[in-house]
Amino acid sequence: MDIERPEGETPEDSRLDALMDGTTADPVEAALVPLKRLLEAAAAPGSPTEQQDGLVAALRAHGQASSPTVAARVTKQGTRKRWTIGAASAAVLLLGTATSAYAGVLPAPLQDFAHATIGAPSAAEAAAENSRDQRNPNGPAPATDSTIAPNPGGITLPGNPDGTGRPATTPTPEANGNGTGVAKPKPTLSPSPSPKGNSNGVNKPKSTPSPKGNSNGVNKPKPTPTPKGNANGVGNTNGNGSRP
Amino acid sequence: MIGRDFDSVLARASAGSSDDFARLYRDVHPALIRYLNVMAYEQADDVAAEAWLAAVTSLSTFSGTETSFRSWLFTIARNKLIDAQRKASRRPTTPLTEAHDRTGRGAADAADQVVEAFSTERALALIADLPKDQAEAVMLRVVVGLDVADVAEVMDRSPGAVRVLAHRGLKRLAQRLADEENHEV
Repeated sequence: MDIERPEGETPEDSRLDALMDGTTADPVEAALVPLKRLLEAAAAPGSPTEQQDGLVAALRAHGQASSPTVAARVTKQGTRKRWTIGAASAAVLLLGTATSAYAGVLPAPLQDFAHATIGAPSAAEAAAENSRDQRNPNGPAPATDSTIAPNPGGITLPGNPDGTGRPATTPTPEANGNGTGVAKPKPTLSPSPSPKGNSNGVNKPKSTPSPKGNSNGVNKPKPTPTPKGNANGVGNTNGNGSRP
Repeated sequence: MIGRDFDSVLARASAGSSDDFARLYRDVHPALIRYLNVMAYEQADDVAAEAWLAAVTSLSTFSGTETSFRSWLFTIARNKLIDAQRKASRRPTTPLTEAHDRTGRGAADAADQVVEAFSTERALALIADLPKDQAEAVMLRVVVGLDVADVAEVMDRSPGAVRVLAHRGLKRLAQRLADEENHEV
């Protein structure tokens, strides 16, 4: 290999190279004799002490490394480690891909594949969802909940506000008993002025009108209409009932 | 140096022959421990042991000439030394007294007696007084017997830089020896 020689190299540098390589022609120039001796002393053959120092431990390590059982164990451990790392990597990859698939952010072919294999949204669904999100950057409208949603327009919402079907705790003059078959438990926890109906959110008009609301918000046919108020016991509003 | 038998010695040592491994060890270890003593006396023995352990573990993977084997082993040793020095810098300990006793560094007459008859220990003490990189270049070139290209590989420097370091080190040593001689006269 050609060694680059820095600019300004002197003949002395060449002599030093020769000195280090042990190729100095004899007799060595006088100025370099002490240096030559020093280098020869530094590079003298190792003493027995130096040669033996640490040899026992090195031989023991060599014996262990050369042992078939140790070598097999090392190989086995290496194989197991590789398998573990591979399995962990594969699990992370699968999990990430599945998450991406359900988020609908995979490329279309992959998204469709995920749709077919793990039931993730198809590419078309994902695209539609994304475009919807883009039109409404604040996210989808909150779900309507009769128990908490404001109802400023006075829209009648069915069901007991606490969802239990029990009569509202606050008496209201809008009690049922008007024979319309509409139970009117009064929501009081909601800002909505008058949610009506049963707790499952479905008005179920019955063939037999009942002036009473029931506790679960489902009208039960009663053989005889009564002018009394509904289950919350606060009377009615049609004027033909009476307060207890 | 083992010479022509090196390939067969290495092959048998890799196959598990203790005798051949011992021959390799006896051939290289003196240079290794001298190099480490010059570079970091306090850690030399530990680093040498770690280097041999690492070399033994991967001996079967090595293939190459005797010079490249030395280059490989000293690269391992140098990396172990760097690791050890990094650890030591976090928890510094300095057994100064012992170091001075063993290397001769700090002794009043360390350089006074080197002109006529150098002992190996005194020669190494003088080299160890050089700046670290110059001392390393000189040790790898002279004591370990690597050529400039191999030293450059071990030291992770360019060959030109290695030459400059070695030359500067030798010139400084020569100057010091000359000063000592004049002082004696």
